[in-house]
Amino acid sequence: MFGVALMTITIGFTTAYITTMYKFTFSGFFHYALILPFAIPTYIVAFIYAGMFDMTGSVTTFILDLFGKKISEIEFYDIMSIEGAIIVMSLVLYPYVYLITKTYLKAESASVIDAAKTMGLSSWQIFYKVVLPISRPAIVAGAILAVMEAVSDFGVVDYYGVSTFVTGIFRTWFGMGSVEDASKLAAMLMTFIFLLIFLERFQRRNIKYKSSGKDFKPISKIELKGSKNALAIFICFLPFFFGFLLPFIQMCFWFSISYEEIIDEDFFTLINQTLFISVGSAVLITAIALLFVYNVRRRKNKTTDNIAQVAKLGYSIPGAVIAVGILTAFSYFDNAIIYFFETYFSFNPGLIVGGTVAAVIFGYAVRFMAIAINNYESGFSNIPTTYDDAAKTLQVGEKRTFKTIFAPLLKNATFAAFIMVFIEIIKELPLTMILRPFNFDTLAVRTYELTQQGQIVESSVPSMFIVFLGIMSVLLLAKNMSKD
Amino acid sequence: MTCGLSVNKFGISFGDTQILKDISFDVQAGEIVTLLGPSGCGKSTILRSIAGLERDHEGEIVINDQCVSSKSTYLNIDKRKSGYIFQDYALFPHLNVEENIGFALFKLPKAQKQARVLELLEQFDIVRHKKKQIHELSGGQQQRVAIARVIAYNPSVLLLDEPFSNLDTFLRKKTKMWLKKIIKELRLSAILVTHDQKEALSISDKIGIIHNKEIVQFGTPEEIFNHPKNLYVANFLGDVSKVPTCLLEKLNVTTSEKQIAIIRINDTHVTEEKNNMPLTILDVSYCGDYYEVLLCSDSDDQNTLLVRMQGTSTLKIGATLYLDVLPDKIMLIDK
Repeated sequence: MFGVALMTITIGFTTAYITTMYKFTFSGFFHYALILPFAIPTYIVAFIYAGMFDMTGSVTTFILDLFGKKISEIEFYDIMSIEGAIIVMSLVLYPYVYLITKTYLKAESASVIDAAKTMGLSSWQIFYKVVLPISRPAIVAGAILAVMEAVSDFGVVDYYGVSTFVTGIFRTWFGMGSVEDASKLAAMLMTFIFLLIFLERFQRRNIKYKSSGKDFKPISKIELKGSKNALAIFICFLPFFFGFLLPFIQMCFWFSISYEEIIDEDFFTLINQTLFISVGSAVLITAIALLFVYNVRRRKNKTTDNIAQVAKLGYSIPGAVIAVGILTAFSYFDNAIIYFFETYFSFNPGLIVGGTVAAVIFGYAVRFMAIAINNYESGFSNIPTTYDDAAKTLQVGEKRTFKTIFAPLLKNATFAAFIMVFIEIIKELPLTMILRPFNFDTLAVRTYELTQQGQIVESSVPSMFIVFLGIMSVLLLAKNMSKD
Repeated sequence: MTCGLSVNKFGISFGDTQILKDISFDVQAGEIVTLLGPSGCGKSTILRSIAGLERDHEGEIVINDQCVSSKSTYLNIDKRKSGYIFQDYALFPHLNVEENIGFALFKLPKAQKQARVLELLEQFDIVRHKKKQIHELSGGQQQRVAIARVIAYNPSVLLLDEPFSNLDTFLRKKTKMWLKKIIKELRLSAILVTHDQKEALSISDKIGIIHNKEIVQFGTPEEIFNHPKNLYVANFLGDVSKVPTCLLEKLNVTTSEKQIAIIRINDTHVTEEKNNMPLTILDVSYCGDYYEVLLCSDSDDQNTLLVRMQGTSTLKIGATLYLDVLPDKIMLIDK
């Protein structure tokens, strides 16, 4: 946890600072490229790195062959360790710190930095005396989000053999069959997560973003030349290369040599199933979120608002914990139904909700509702409340107002909510693994299963589809945002 | 004359905080009544209650002789025949000018709706902008669209919430005249709320000054300006200055303990003729068209008087000027 925090802060803050303060060759490219590690799920990067750098990995073998050495003859540092997991997670999760710090710096620091410049402070003095202290809340908030993701992770730690709360839950649940112990572990993890949520909210209190309205003043960037220009490119290229480009190239290569073997009729069923559950769940979650937020807006209903706020907490809860909770609750429900039918009708109806697609969708709704709600809250906040009043005084009914005013004005928010929930569901692993019905696989689950069978190269095929869908969605989202 | 709108003993509270109390006034058809008060005094809340956007209030609101809102009555918004112009106009950005104006006419058959929209576009002189998006219009054009959209469904009461605040000075004057003409032509009962004194004085038939939750004075602009009821009203409507005691004595003006003698700055004349009241210059500020000069009497430098002088650049602090004031320009008002 501390390792991930330290590394994400180092990478995220350095790159955010450089791309915000300086103009250098490719700075426009890095502005977007540095977010790209978000497009590949952490566990896929972890599998790829293992396939490249473990004892029999492609890069290891290549280097050994190059120098004519054997693995026993050198001091080999195994990536399949806690340090390896920290490096891999940080390479993928640093954009949390990068994005939050960059937004904060852009909105907050222009006048302060200009003031420091006029007082004759050097670039280095501005950095540690001004930028670093004022960015502290943003850096900490970003790092806490990255740590929360790391703590909730299952794929990386499981594959790298690192013991965490989440792997503990899986081991006690599947290995020992103890629901009670798994629930206890989940409860302990939740206490820890709530502490992190509290810390994150506490930090965010200190972040007051200026609106990009009339008082917004962009930072005047310093142009870098010569060696400083090269250094800036190098520093920004490193995380982009290791966090996205290298694993992506390796994945493309493995895909090219193994796709014929993997892509068969069953694989298309797998894609169909993944798309069916992701699209279906995303539509449902988006629609429910819209209902929630619309109700809060129109009726100023406190109960609905409270439900929406509680629903938002779901995103902070690890998928494995949600799955354990749902499975426990659903099994009580199913047992009660079975007991009722057996007692009164001497007939066992079997599982009604537990182990069905409905349970998976419910799990996704609990975990990802926050994303859709946040999008709609932000969408509604851009619509002045005078529009509601204007429609009322213009004698237009609620249905018509929704159809002609809110629906068109919320088009972009709806699209963004759908796409963001869709990407998350495609990537989701532990929740799907626990809740899925028998024989119901998704691309994420298949990727995990192949790596478990030691077929790292083959796992690149389902991974490739996940990453492809992820990149497509990010591009669509970026296009949609530029329309605003 | 028909009484378009009547507000009787209106009061409203939010939680435990009383915002307004005992507000009463009438607006005849074709009349413009302005509620004038500082920001946050609750002016807009009265408009919102008349429109039906706020429900719980004391007193009653009567539109066209029908009680639309009281403790026991609430007539739905769509039955009130009131049109509301919001401060930000609330024009829908995804609809063009034509669609915005036709927004409330969805019940009409298509041909009739088109004819009505065209009629309004012509009446409001915005026909050439009909296909434009809202962001392509100037502030004045946007205001015309907002008013046309409301007029489309023939309201009898027009509620205007700071309608000129988004316009520059030139456009403000032009739009004011145009709006006044429209209200008179259509014989609407219009209530305008603003915190701008000049705007209120120039457009209104009657003005109500809100202070400390109540209307402290209601009357024509001339009545209120020339005979303010108290110092707050006098100060709110224009620059006034307290008259120094020595000047009152010289002019034989007597005041009671509860009264204060004031004079509008524009009613003071400062000359160099020595037969008038001598005053010493304490400060001089250049204000473009005129100089603002702060004066005091030799016997009492705490008792100051602010005057305006034009075209003088030789004023020096400490020099003596002579004040000429007509006694009938001095107003004796409650403290």
